[in-house]
Amino acid sequence: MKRRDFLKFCALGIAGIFLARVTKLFSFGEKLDHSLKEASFYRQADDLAG
Amino acid sequence: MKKVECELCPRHCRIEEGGRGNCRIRTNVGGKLYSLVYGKPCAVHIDPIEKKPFFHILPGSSAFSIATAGCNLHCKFCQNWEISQRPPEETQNMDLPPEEVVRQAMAHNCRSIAYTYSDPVVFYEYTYDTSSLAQKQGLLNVLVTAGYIEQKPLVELCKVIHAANVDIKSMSDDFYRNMSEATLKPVLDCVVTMKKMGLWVEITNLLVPTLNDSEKDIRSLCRWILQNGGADMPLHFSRFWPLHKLQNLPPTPVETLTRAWDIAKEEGLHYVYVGNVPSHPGNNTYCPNDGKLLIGRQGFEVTENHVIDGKCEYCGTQIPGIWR
Repeated sequence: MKRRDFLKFCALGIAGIFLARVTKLFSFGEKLDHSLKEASFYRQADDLAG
Repeated sequence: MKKVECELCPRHCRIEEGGRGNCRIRTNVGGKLYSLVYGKPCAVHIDPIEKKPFFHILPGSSAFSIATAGCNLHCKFCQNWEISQRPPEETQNMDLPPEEVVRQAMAHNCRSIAYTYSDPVVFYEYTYDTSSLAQKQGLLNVLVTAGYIEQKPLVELCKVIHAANVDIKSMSDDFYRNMSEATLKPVLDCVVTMKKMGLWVEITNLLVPTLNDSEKDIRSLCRWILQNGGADMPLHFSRFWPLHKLQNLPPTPVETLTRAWDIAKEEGLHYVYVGNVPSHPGNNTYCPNDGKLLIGRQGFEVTENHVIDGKCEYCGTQIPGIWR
């Protein structure tokens, strides 16, 4: 019983994580809008301080 | 978490993943910056070109006018705040890709497309792509803008734009900081660059009672225009209406507008106009040489036109502008 419960728990956990990831992929805070246009003038800011 | 830095306007917003720029319409998704409003205007109208205002471009013609939500200034006196100070989720947006803008402009016999109402700087990519297509079809592209843009994107945009009306709200940097959350210098640089790039430029100054309507303010503006744009650069004084965050102020008195009109002519500007006051003589264009009425206007309607082949019909003086 204990082993089955544990496996069920793991399966539920994996399913939950998967759902959360899928939801995030299609959410854009709200929804990912496929008509987004990449901006023309910007740069990566990771190398900047602050 | 990849941050991006927008380089479109002097704010240089640093935007976290999922965040937005100050303009409310540019966002970081997966370390790339996107426009949220490309092809999605919230305002589409056919207006007389005089409404923009442009008084020296194709008089009596129609401008297909578009705008999206958002703006990179936050003027307390904004006359279009209901779209400029909102994100696109809070405006009613249409699906109108660039090619459709051009098609509809031509279908409605518009001679120009105006990128206006909010600020075309913030919907830059949409403005640029639409302008590129429109130019190939023989349409004029005209901007109505606060001019708060970095030089590099401005130079690129100027290659597909024919004319601009730029708001110079004041010659005081403090005014820009306190009233618009911006700075003055980039705006002045914008006007200078546009002129160097060969655009036709007209200036608008919204006169807000007690804030930028002193004689010193007006003369300072006129002298800057004379020095940097020349006597032939048109200047429109526009009447403020109490809106947005300045509802405590009265509308600009007509006497203030008339005084500004007189001062600007005294300073040597050839083409000075008064906006939002029907039947004011400042609605008309006069020949700087013989003083004759060249273009009569009643509101935005042209009632008579004596500019023939770009010249005064009476004395032959060249009148600057885009007349065909």
